[in-house]
Amino acid sequence: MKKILLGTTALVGAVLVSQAALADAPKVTVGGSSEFEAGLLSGDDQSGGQVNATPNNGQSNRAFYTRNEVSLKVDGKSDAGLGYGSEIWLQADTSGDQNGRGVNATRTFVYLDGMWGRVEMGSNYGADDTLKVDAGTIARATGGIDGDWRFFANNRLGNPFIATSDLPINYGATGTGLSGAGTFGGGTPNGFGNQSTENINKVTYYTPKWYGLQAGLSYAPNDSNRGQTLGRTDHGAPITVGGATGGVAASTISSAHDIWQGGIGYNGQWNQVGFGLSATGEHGQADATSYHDLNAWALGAKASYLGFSAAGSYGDWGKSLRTGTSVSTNRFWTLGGAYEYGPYGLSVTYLGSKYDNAIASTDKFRNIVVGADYKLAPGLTPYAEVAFYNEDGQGTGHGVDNSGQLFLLGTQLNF
Amino acid sequence: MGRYFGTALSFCSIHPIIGTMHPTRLLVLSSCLLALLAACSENSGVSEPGKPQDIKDVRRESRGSLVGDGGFGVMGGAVKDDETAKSPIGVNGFLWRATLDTLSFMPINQADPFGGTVLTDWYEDPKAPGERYKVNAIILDKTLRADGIRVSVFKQKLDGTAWRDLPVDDHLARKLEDSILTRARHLRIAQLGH
Repeated sequence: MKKILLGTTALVGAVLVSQAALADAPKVTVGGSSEFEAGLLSGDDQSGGQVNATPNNGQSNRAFYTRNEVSLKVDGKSDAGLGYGSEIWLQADTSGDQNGRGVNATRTFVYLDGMWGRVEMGSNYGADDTLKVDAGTIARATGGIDGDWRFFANNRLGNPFIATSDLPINYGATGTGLSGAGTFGGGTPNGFGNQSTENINKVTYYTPKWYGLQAGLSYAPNDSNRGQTLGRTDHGAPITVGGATGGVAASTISSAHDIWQGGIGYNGQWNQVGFGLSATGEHGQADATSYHDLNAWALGAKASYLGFSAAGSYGDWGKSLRTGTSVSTNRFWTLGGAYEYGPYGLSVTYLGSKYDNAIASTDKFRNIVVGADYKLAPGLTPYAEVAFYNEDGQGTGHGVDNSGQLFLLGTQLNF
Repeated sequence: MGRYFGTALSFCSIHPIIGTMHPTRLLVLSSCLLALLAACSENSGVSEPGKPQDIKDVRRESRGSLVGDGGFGVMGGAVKDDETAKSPIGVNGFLWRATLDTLSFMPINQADPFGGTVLTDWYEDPKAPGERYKVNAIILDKTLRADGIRVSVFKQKLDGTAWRDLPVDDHLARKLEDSILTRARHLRIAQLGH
């Protein structure tokens, strides 16, 4: 035994030479994207009539939209093999971010990673956002039900709806994501989820991927703590969401602190069939007294085979940050299918939701989005998208509907 | 954390079937499920750092980039021109020198810088007579890549007056490859002046 061990010593000794230093030279990378979209809406305007029904005396039915981001990424590795770096996504448009996520940048964070996992610290997405699976995961063009239709559509009712497949913090529920009437052409998707609290300051830990399985957990001290703004209110007044319609009181929702966002995701392959699963959740303490804490969850799944894919999800906001006993029906579900062939892609995605309003009735929302895109050249992708959405108010003073059809044509350039 | 957090994960505890299962059976079922997940995993069981991305980033990256994946580098990091051979030999210069450095304790039988092959002669450690080793190293590419070197190790044991071939653990060849790659990286860093 000793001779065998000694016999390998010389060879083993060779492999022990120069094992210490693994450092890589840090690198700085610049990238980003530039998008242009043209939107044409057929549907209700803010006052109940049709958009563009009265030329020069009402809302126009068409607008152009741009979105430009510049990313700065710094990546390095220490002698001990610790990865570290930073990402800064600069907002580069001639107006402020219509998602309400920041003035100069949409994401800024520092990271550390290694075989033990990854930690991200800064103004960034939460783990329940990055690990979730739903119909939007397979959507083409601008993202289907989670895409850019929100910037063009009208939330005529001013009621709060769950209009995208997000949990409350990612939806912007405690910011302005649920409140007010979205204005066509103005671009601010109030009431349709403007993701205004999606990038609050947080610390996130992701486990390593193990057999396709990965978990993540984020902690944010306060939903108004973003960038250099150190919002620390933990007993604030509730936020009014929605508009008072027909004399009916608007809904209220509490802001939150000590927010946890987590998820588990799995991606696997069996023969030629790919599939993914996710379970995500949010928990936090309500700021206002007598309001329920933030407790929301969602489950999602997707499958793919030879270019075809299908996905769906179910999410429940429960009584998150609401008050009263008749506010428990706040949920959404998604379903979608897509097909990809070479540079071409096509998808159909659907979202349905229910949201209890202030008068113990349940407002309903539906949206079907058909999208297609084509990789014309590396980094250049033109696309088209059509959204058919419907707001269905329920109860006294809320019994009005709004439906709209939006046609989008655009192109994205990545660099 | 609130009692509602992870309700989806606590579903099993209240499901009418799973909730009544014996703990041992539940453990066996969980193990089988994990084994099934492992068999279906796209990563073949290799633990690695993960960088989850929002679907918007995934969609953006899937559409490619005008200047190449990940944007364009403005400073530091890998400069691809230095990784390819500005050297006159036919394979990556860093890997070539690193291979010669790492195997220098053994007699070199053949070294072809254009074909990228280094073949050692049989080497018997004086401290362990009766066993000898031979190493073949092949450099596969002009670029410095993790899969750019392949090492094979051969082993013989003296049986009376004749040398008999013995099986060698793959682990030894992989360790030699790692050592060569590490040395090549040091040489590159030294040349780049970092």
